[in-house]
Amino acid sequence: MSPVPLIETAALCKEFRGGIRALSNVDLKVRQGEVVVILGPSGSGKSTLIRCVNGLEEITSGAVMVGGRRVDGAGPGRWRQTRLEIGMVFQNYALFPHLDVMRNITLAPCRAGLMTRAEAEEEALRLLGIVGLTEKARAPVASLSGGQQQRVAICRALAMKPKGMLFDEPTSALDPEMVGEVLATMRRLADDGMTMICVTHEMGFAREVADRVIFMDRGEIVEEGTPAEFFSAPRTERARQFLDLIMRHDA
Amino acid sequence: MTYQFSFPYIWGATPDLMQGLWMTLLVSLVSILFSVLIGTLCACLRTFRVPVLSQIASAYVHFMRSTPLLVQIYFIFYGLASLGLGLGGFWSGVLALSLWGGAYNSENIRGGLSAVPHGLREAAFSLGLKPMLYLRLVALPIGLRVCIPSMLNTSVSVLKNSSYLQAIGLAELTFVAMNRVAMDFRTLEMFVSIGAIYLVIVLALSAGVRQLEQVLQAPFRTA
Repeated sequence: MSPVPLIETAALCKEFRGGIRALSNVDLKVRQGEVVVILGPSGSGKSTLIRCVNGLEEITSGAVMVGGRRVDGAGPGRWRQTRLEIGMVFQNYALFPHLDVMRNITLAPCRAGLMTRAEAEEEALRLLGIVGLTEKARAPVASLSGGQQQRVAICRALAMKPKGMLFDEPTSALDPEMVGEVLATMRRLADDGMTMICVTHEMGFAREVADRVIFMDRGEIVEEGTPAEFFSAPRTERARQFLDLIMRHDA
Repeated sequence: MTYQFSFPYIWGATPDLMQGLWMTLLVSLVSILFSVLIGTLCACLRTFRVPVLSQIASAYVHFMRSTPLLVQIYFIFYGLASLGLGLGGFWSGVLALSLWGGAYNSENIRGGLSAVPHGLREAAFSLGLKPMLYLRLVALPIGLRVCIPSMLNTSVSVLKNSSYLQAIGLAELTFVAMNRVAMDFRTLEMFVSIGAIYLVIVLALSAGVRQLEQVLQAPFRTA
């Protein structure tokens, strides 16, 4: 483990227009290779937190560091550099609908000058092979199922060869039978040592894959610990209530 | 006294009409091309709120929409000439129609760009694409597809409004017909003829654009 966390936020605060406080004083450190799952009720600031990490939300105060380097307040160039290093997967996949699967994956690496077209296509095929979609390389995005689209979106982010990945509820928009294939892809990524921050409601994934679980409520980190600690013996009342509700829903 | 409609007269006027048609097509197609370019530029400036330039684009759109095309044509042809910037009939016509169509296309394309899902912008930025690349590779290809029907509308208007250019003596279709009418008073024959010709070329333009749309929509259809 390297001593400098790959992703770090310090006293991070985010207020939306109208004074709605989405995050207050969030301190988060994610080590290289660590898989962190963020849990919490809706509106607790989970998504906002990871969107602040790659600058999709402008922070109100505090600091965001990636690879030990301060990112916020240094202009769009620094954010762009950071986004090249940290991939992101969205709830609604956000694939480019006018391009086929291959072009979706190769567009950014080619344009960022990371690799030639041929190298990017080779890399795309390798990634598609891993997620089991090799035969879809030339398919239009509209012809894919939600689960397939999300796996392509993961490939698209991975093609940039990021040091870390952010997942913003990647399975929340999927039909139940497609959740498994996306989680399997994420699990494999975690096994390969990728640094990941996942916002999700998949408790099974959190329990089995996460190195650390963070529980947020009303813009604050309420509790954090290993999945074993968190799920079997939550320390705070709010976490207990949350888990109670989830378990009842599952049953 | 009954008016004798004469088909042979139309036949005799055909070479003149064809020359007029050629000029109409030329001035219209060049103007449509420029109006799409101007519209795209203005729409991008306004969508991305480029300081100063977006205000200029907005003022231009309002100005063009709020003044009659004929006044704009006269201003460009006579007004600029009196300032020593005479462009001649053809290029005055192209400039007037391009600026007029450009204003409408600016609004058409702005609508198309606003239909591009916000998530795609975030996805593009999260992949490290620069804003200009996002615009060129994602927003415009999607946004322009969306507004093809409304751009066709504007293009048809540009084509039909090219008949105003007879007022500055450009020898397009309407001018040719008016000329023949002034010589021979065969009003019905001439106006029926050019009406039919305008109808046919507008239908052809629409059919062509529909084909283009079919091709461009292909990736969006589920197999």
